[in-house]
Amino acid sequence: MKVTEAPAPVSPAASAWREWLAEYAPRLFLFARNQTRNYEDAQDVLQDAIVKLVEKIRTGELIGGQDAWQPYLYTTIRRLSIDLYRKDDRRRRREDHVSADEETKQFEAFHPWFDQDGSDDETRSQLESALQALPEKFSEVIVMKVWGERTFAEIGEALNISQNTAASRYRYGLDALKKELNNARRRGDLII
Amino acid sequence: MSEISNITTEQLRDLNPCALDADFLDRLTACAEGCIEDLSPEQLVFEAELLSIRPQALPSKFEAKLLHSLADTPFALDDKILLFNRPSSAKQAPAKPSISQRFPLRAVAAVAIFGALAAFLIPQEGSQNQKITSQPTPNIPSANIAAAGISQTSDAGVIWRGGNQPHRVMRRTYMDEVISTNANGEAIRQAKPHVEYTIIPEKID
Repeated sequence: MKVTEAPAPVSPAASAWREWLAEYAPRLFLFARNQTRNYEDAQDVLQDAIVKLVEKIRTGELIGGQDAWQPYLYTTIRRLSIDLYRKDDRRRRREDHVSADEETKQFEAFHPWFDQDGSDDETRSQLESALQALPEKFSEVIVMKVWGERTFAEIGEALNISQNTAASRYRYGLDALKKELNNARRRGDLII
Repeated sequence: MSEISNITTEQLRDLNPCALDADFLDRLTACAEGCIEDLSPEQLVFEAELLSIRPQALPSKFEAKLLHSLADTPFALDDKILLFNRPSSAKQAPAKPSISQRFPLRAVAAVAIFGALAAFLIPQEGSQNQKITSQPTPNIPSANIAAAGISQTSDAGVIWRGGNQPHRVMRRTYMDEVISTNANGEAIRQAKPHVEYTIIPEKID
């Protein structure tokens, strides 16, 4: 007689968390990658941020319910990224390292920032390069606004800048990004 | 010796600061006009193009790791919390109450209990706290209502009002004492609750 094992029951909470992660974690991970510019560091930072969120939820310190989770996570990811590089000056070492290290480049190429659906490889790759080439203060606003769907008020709070500055950086960043992609198109790097 | 040390004040005055570049001037103007958040049609088109490109999904191992971190945490949102004008696409579920951790609420509750006790212990006759109702019920031809004090204070959660400003809602239940006389002239005492809500601006970290 063939015995089939029933699938382990998934608790409603686990299922809800999975759903929540599927919806929001890719955006948060993109922000973490933009902040750290390193795949593994981005994972560490996002995980630490989630753990901190969990602690806040458990102790009841985070008020505002689920709507407060994302603003908290964006702020925490940014703080943790800054702390990470302040701690051991890894940013400088990473920048020196990355510029010379082909292996790292290849690794990053296998772990693109953007999904394959909705665009071709070249577009995604150029967009990723253009975002990385932008000064961080512009790219972080773009990532939070476009893919994080945050308001300028929330972005301002997370980045410790005014709402107007966030909006101004967004406009400037969009124009600069568009210019960079147009240049790539003219060079023939991008076919769109 | 450098020529700059010989420069006169007049010559300095003749120097003009560089003009702002056109883009920066546009942004400053938009700030001044209060429309910095409004994008041009070209920018809107470009924004829409960017939106069509989605962030990469999490690697499955990493997602499993995150789920493990969340395993013991209820997916929770306090059902008392009312979210106004803040639509969210994800599910909402109850969170743990945090009243015990907020000292000011305890202080308010303590004062409320003290007030309620005082109201019961101090004689009410002739007190200015007494109010006369103008709407007697058929069984209660006339009634005196004495505000006996707060019987319960609770945190009703946070609401978001205009301007993205969170507000904490405090619910206070007062237990009034209604003294009435029936048709036979007998005095009847009844406890009658009434509820008031107070909205206090809240700072959210």
